[in-house]
Amino acid sequence: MRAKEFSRNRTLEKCISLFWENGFGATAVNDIVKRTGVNRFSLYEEFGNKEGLLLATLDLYIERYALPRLRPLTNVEHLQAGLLAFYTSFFEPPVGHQKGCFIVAMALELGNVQPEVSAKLDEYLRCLKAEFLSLLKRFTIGSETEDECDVLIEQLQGLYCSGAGIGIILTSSEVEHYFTGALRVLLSNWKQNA
Amino acid sequence: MPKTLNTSYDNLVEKAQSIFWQNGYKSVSPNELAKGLGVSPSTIYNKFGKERLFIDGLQAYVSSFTDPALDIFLNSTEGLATFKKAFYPVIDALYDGFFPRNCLMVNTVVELRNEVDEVNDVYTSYFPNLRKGYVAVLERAYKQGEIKSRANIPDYVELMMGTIFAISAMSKVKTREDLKKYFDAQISFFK
Repeated sequence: MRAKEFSRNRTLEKCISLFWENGFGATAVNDIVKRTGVNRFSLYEEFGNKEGLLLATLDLYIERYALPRLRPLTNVEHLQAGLLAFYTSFFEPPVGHQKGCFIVAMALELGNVQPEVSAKLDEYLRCLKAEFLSLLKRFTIGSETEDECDVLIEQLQGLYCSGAGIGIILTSSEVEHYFTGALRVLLSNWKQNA
Repeated sequence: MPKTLNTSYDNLVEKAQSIFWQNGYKSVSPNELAKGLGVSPSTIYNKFGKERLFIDGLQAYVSSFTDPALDIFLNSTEGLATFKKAFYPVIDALYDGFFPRNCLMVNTVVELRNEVDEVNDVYTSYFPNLRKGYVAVLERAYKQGEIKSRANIPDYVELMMGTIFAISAMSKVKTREDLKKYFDAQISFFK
């Protein structure tokens, strides 16, 4: 069981790289067989079809990369700097990954025709919301309304999506500049952001 | 124009644009492109090339959708309301399927990144022009008293530069009405 899980995740890691590099539509099952060394029959047995494989890669990406990048937010000392570090962490990709976010990239490619892919984006945005909510609570002075908080969180979710797009073609210093400017605007109403 | 073709080049570009918009660039083989365009594969291989048709389709996108928006940004007399005027139709286009899939520029950035020199050339004029348009709107809003501090304008422009990506991605998880509310809320930060 353990050996199988290990090779399952290794296979999925290679598929993340392939799908992200070429796009899902441009990746043929043959490419997957070649890159992973797993035969077609085993792939179908484990994942059902190419779509099933994609959903499994998204789950692994969320668990291994997207969620862990949220963790440092639990003990940041400065709201804006903490958020900046979170957003920019998606632009120092490990080998085999691209800049930005795999979930956003797949949702943009397939979200219109595969609701399950959009659902993965929704799932991650909800995780962001929960994390941002507890973060903002720690940096509140108590006079902010719930409404202000909801609006801000939604804008921070939007900033995640926008950065995962525009940031792809920016240099690291431009990425930092982009998020810094945007965060200054969005946090300008948040009183404890001094 | 070769006599064997019964459609004009512009016509082919328009068709190619819609094929790439729906399917992306990499997943369309030259043979499939030829089939979709109703021309022989050799027309793609020897005459126009898949890349050329893609770039010209992208340029056509800029002329049909971005240039008119830029014109509004630069020449409207309104301040912040200009943003709504330019972006609400884009939001509607995303939901009504008038845009086959996202904004074509968004798809291009996400799929091709910085990998294709000729596409990079398109970015080189596209994004600075967009930036100029946003600056023009925000400067007007400042003159009209909607924005109090001119010093904040550069940050507002940064936020605007990502907007088209945010609404494209968030249209996958939000209703049209909620996305418009999200957009309005963003604009309300400019003050």
